[in-house]
Amino acid sequence: MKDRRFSKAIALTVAGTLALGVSIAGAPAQAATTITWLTDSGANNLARVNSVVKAFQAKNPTIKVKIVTRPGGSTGDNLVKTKLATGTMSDVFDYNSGALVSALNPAKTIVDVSKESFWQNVYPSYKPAVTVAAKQYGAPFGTAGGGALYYNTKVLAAAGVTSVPKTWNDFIAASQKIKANGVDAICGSFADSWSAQLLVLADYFNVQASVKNFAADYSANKAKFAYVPQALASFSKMEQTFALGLYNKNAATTKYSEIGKLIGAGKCGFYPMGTWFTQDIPAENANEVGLMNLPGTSAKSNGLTVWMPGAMYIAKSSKNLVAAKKLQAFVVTKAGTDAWVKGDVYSGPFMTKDQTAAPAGVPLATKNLASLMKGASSPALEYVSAIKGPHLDSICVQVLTGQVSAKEGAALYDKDVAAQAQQLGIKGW
Amino acid sequence: MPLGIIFLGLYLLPTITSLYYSTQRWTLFDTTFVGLDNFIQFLQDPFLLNGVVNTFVYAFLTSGLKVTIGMFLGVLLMSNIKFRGLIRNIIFFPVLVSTIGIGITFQVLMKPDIGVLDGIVRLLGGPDVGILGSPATAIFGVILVDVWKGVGLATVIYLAGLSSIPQEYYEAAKVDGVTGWQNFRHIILPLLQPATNTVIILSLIGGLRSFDLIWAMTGGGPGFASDVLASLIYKQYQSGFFGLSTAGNVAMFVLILLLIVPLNKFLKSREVEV
Repeated sequence: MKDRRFSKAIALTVAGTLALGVSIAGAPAQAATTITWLTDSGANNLARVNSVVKAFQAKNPTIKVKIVTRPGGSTGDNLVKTKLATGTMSDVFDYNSGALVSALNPAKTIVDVSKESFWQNVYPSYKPAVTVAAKQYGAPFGTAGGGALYYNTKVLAAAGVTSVPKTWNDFIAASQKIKANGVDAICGSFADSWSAQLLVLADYFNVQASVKNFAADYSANKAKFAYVPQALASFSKMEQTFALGLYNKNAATTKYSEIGKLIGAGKCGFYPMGTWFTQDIPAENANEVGLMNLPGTSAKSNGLTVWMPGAMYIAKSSKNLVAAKKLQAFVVTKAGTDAWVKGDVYSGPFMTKDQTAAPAGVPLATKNLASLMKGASSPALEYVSAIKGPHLDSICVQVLTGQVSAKEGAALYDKDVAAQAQQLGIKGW
Repeated sequence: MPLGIIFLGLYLLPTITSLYYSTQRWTLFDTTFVGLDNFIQFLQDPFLLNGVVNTFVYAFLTSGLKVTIGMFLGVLLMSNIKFRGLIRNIIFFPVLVSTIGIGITFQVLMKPDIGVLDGIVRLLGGPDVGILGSPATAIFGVILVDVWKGVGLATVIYLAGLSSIPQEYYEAAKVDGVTGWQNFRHIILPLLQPATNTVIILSLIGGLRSFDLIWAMTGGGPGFASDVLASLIYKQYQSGFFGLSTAGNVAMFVLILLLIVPLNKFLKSREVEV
C-alpha cells in the first residue's frame, strides 16, 4: 500500500514537472528535473541517503531527487525484480553487489556504466562485484565491511583470555574459559535466521586460503561443501559450538536487534557478524567491543572475509538518464562519500581512492576493522561466484540447534545450491 | 452475467495462468518451458516431507481441538450461567483481531526470558519452556495460538446449531427421565452433526493452508522445524523460484481437493434430518 501511495506521489510530481515544462517552454532551461531513488527503508540507511541527496541537490540546483523506500530482505529483492521486470523501476536505485546482481537480468534492465569516467576514482578490486558478462552495471555506494567475530574485551579479560585467539582451537579454548566463568561464550540470534549464517559466510577466507580453486570449482558444479574438507569445516564449526553448549540458552528465540545490548553489557563473549553490526553497539560500550578475524586452523593464515559495498544502479527504463548519471557519478566523488559519512557513523573504508577519512573517536570495532583490512583478506564467496543457495540461513539454524549434523547440513546446502542454479538455468547443473 | 465475469476474472483466469506458470522456469524477466521439472524439483525438496507432516499435524490437531473445545463452550454458553453475554464476547473477540498482530504478540508472550506465559509457568514451579525456540515443540506453540484465535468462530457455529434443536426433544427426554449425559450423547451430539461438519471442514481447510500465523510466530523455524506446505512454498517464492513455487501451489491445491471432497461426502452422509 505504501508503495502505491509513493508511486502515485511520484506520478503527480512527474506530471507536475511536465506541465511546468510546457508552461515555461522558451524560457532559459532552468526547469527542475525530478528523479526518483528507490532505497531500503531502514532508519540508518535513510539518514545516509538523505544526507547524500542534500549534498547532491546543493551542487545541482536544477535536479530534485525524490526518495522512495522499499522493505529490506527477500521481500525487497522481489520488489526490485518486479519493478525492473515491469519497467516501473525508479530512475536510480541502490542494491547489493555480488551474486544477487546477475538475478536482476542487468543486460536488459540496467544501464551499462562500464565506460563511465567515475571508474578512475574506484579501486579495481571492486569491479568484479558489479560485473555480469564482462560489463559493469553499478557504482559503489557505501563502505566495505567484513564478516568477523565481535568480542567483549571485558568478558575476555575476566575469563583470563589475555590475547585475541588466532586459531580455531584457541577460540574454542577461550570460549570454554568464558563459559566456565559463568558467561555465555557466544551470542546467537537464530530467531533472525539470516544472522545465523556468519560462521559459514565469514569462514570463506579460511576456505580459499587452503583450497585456491574452490570458487571456480564450486561455480562449475565440481566442488561441494559436503566433500571439500576445508569447506565442510565451516559447518563443523557450527556443530561444535552447539555441541559444547557455548551459546546463550535462548539463542533460538533471540533476535539480531537484541544482541547489541547483550554483548555491550558483557552478557556474552563473542558474536560472529558482519561489520554493519558496529552501529548497533550501544555508544557507552563502543570501546569495549572489539573485532577479530574468524580464525582458521593455523595462526599463520589469519585474514578477513570482505563484504563489498552495495552499488547504485540506473534503470534502463529511466527517462532522466542525464540527471541519473550525474547522481550516480556524484556518490563516487569525495563530496558524495563525505555526505555518506555525515549521515552515519564512519563504519569502514570506501572503495573510492580519494576518500580516506577515518575520523577520530570511532568505535573500537571500527579501528580494529581498519587494521584488519590492511592484513590478509579475501572477498566473500558471493562476490566471486554467482551461485548462492537461498536457504543457507535456515540450514545453519538447523545445524546450530542440533537438528542435523555438520555433514548433513553441508549436503542439504549443496542441494539448495543446485536448486538455485537449476532455477536460474545455469549451464552444467 | 456479472457473476460470470467475476468468476472468470478472479477465479478461472488466475487458475489457468498458474497452471501455465507451473510448467515454466520463470525469473520474472523471461520464461522457459521446463515441462514437469518444477513438480519433480518440488517433490524432491528435502524439507517437503517434514512440511507435509507438519501440515497434517497442524490441520488435524487444530481442527480436533476446535471441535471439542468449541462444542464444550457452545453447550456451556447455552446454559444459564452468569455473565453469559460477556463470556460469549470474550471468546469471540480473538477472531476479529489481525492474525499477524496476534502472532507477533504471542511471539513476545512466549519468549523464554521475558515472556509472560513462560513467567507464569516458572512462577508455578514449572521448567523453562521456550516452546517456540525448540525444534520439537515450536509447531505446537503455534497450534495453541491458532486454537485460541479460532475457537470463537467454532463456538458461534455450535451456538447456532444448538438453538436450532427443537425444545420438544429435550422435553420428551425429560419425560423419559434421561440423565444429562444421555441427553448430550443421544440428542445434542447427533443433532449437532451439521454444525460439527461445518466446523471440521472450515478448520481443516484453514489448517491445511495455514500460513500467516506460522510465518509471524516462527517464520517456519528454528531451521525448517515448523514449516508447513504453504510456508515452504512461500520460501521458494522468496528465493525467486517463481515457477517452482507456482508448481508447489498447484500441488497443494490438488492435495487439499483430494482430501476435502471425499471428507465432505462422508460427513454429509452422517447428517441426520431434524
